[in-house]
Amino acid sequence: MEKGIKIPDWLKSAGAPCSCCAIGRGKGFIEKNIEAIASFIKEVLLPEGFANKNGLLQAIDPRAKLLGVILLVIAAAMLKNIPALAGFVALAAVLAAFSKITASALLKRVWPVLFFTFVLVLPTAFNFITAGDPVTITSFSVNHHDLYISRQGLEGITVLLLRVAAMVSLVSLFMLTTNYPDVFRALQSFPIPKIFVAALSMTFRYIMVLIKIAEEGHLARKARTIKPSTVRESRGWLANRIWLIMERSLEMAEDVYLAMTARGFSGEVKTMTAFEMKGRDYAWIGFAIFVFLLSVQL
Amino acid sequence: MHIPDGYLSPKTCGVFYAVMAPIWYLAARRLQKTLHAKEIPLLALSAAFTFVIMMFNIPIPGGSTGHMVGGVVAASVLGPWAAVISLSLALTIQAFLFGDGGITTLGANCFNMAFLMPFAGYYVFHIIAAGNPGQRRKWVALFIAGYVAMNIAALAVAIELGIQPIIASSPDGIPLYAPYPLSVTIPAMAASHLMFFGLVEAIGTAMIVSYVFKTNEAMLYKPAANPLKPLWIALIILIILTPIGLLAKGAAWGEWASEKLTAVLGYLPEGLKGLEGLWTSLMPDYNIPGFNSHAKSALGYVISAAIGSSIIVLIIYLAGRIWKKG
Repeated sequence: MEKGIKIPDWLKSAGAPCSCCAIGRGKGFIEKNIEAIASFIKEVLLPEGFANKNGLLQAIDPRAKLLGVILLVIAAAMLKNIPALAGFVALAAVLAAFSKITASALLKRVWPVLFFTFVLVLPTAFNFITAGDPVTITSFSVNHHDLYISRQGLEGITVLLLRVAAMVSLVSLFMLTTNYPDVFRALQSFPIPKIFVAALSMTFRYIMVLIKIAEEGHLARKARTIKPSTVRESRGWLANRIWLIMERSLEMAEDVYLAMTARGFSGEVKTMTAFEMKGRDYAWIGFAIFVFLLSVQL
Repeated sequence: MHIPDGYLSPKTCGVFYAVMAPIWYLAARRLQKTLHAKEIPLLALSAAFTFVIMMFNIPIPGGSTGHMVGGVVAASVLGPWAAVISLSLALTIQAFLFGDGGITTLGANCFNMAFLMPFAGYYVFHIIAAGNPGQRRKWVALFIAGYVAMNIAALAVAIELGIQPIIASSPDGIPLYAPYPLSVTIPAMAASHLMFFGLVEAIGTAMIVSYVFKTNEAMLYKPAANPLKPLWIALIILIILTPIGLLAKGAAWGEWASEKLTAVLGYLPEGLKGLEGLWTSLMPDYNIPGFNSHAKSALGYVISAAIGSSIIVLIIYLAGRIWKKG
């Protein structure tokens, strides 16, 4: 531990010479990937905790909850008029309130899709896409061509936005009020081959393992990078990492299979179904079917 | 690329679930033959792998980065049928747990990204890399396979979105689902995917799979027979069928008028008349005289929905009881 260690100035400066493998402007792919991985891990490991609150949807058996939500989602998909769709959005809000889910938590999930949809469909309000009756105040003329917002266009946008809001909110409510393991258990009671459901829950588990490998690789690369690399180098490195993850996943599949065989697995999936439907579950399904049948007729 | 809930009409969603059901079944059957009990961990791990590569940003020339789907990578490593299953699993996790793509649109999303993409990429690669290709030809074949597969999937998305105004608009021309016609969706998807996302997929596919070719080729999927055989068979069938096509009446595929499309998809434009008919036949008293006024008919709807839902809950309850005892 002599004092002879010389740290070059550029290493001491706060603004490192490489904004992490940035090629050209903005963040580089390494930084972006690390951010994506971190936010993913955070989302999985730190759920907002709504699933364990004492609310309406939390009290319902996950099987019944999933069936009911799917019925409501299909009902919302079939509706054709604005008041009914607005009613569905209101229904989602009421369910959220009774399930003690904050507006911000729900909006965090619904907002990105809704905003994307809004930007995407905005031009359809105008008559050059959706012909129809003008909404008078917005009419003006460009080169003798009338440009105006049409009533039909506006209604179309409203219908789509309300529908997306209703459907995405309902699915989000299910996810927010259900723990991850329960989601897979709920899927087991649906007419999906058990092999798929078993593979699905294993997939979820091993995503975390593989993402950890990816994260470590990226962090190690970030730590060792002192100058921007070329696109060619970066691609070579990324290909190498992905290859490593691929090889690990195939090895791990073999190991997991051997471990399963050692524990008596013979290709048949057996599951524990500890769920029991109670009165309130029947009431929830009844409610969902009621709304569904009502929507079919509207 | 992931179509969210609410963009496709229920009929379209139903059609794609119906199309995917036999594909999933066939894929599972084929895997059972080759993999046996090993299939569960292998599928799970490869689905997890597919999920992880979907998260990566791939750097492309010019300094930008983009996400890839990885359909062709999965097909190269696992073979196209196993890729169908593992991509479907990855898409299901995305839809259910992370709200990426919808639940009603899952069938359509799987068709585009878990079926069209791996198969298109797989065959394009094997056509270009037929025989004994060198490293350069393999790289080019993978690049083109990724590019073509991505653009085919994008075209499918454009068609699915673009037919919505034709099959599902209200009588006064208000679009009920995705509002843009084919004349908008196809150029928009084509532009973004020919210029950008196709390139990301092409570069990603070429760099990953050619790396595996160089380092450990044994990891890649090896077709048992000539991989192009199914294509030849399909081509021969098409050639045989062409004269029949000339004799057949009716519009060409994809050139249906909206009535024809309605007939093909079984879509009923005004409400769900079929279901209403079924309803009336189940409950003949439904149209009792005096129920014609607006409020009363609304009450009629509510009552019939209430009765209907109670009957179904009763059936579920009884089935649950019996199942529990059994």
